[in-house]
Amino acid sequence: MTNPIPFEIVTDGTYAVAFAATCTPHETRRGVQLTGTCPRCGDPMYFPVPVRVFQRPASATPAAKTEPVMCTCRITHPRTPEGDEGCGAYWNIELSK
Amino acid sequence: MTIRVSAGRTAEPHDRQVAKATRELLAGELTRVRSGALAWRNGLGALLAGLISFGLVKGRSDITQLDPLYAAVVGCLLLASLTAGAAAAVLIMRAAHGRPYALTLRKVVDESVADPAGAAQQAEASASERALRWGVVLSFCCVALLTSAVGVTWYGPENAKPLLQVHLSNGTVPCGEIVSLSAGRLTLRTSGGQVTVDLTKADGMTPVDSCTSPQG
Repeated sequence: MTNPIPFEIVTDGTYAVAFAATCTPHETRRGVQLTGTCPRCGDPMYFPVPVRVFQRPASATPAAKTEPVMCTCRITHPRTPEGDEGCGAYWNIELSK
Repeated sequence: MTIRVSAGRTAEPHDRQVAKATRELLAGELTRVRSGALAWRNGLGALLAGLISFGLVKGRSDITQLDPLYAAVVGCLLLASLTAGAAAAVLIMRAAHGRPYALTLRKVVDESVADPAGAAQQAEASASERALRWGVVLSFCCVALLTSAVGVTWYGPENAKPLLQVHLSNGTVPCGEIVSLSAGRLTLRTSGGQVTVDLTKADGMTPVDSCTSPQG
């Protein structure tokens, strides 16, 4: 078993393409569930994209089409700040029908 | 319909903050739904209790005094109100406190996702939110149906009073609702107004459902 890479908030132009290639979207009553692999750490991750959340502040409503995604893998990466999760990678995707 | 995932625009640090905020909102959603359901339960309970104060404003309270058709309507409204109220109570309690029974593990833990615990919590938050929404809608339906039942009871037409047909020796047959009887004299409310009949001159009396024969 390899050691997990250190936590680092970072993005890369290839992340979104790589994630889109491994991602399986599943439509639910309240949005879309994305299951795929983090393009940075390679760990499986699950990211729900809600269309609505109970008592959600309007300021946190994401843009209409572009959905920001971050690594939410359950692996504990070294140097992960308290209250954070994943390996720190983030990228943007677009969902379409 | 198939959903397609494609690469979006180049991400910026703000995008991770938005993604993180979404995650945090979803993580705390179940707690918010539970506390929201408790507040709704208390508020709707107070609303229903307030309806009891309707009792201070007295109207007709016995549906046997109503026209049978309207009495049946009141019965249906009360049954619908009771059903809606019971369903609303169950749904709001379910939203506030969870299901009153255990689920099979396979229904709770989705092995196909990377974060089964998070997915299970979001599924429960979603189900609770739906239960709360329907519970609130049904509560207002219950109140509306109950108010309608009270309204129909108060303002619905009265049940028809028993009618009496009196056969007098002079051949006339007055028919109508009994108003009074004293000293051998019967007063009837006929379609032509009140008529007083001397019962010593009556050959007979017949209770009838409607006054169809010529009246005196």
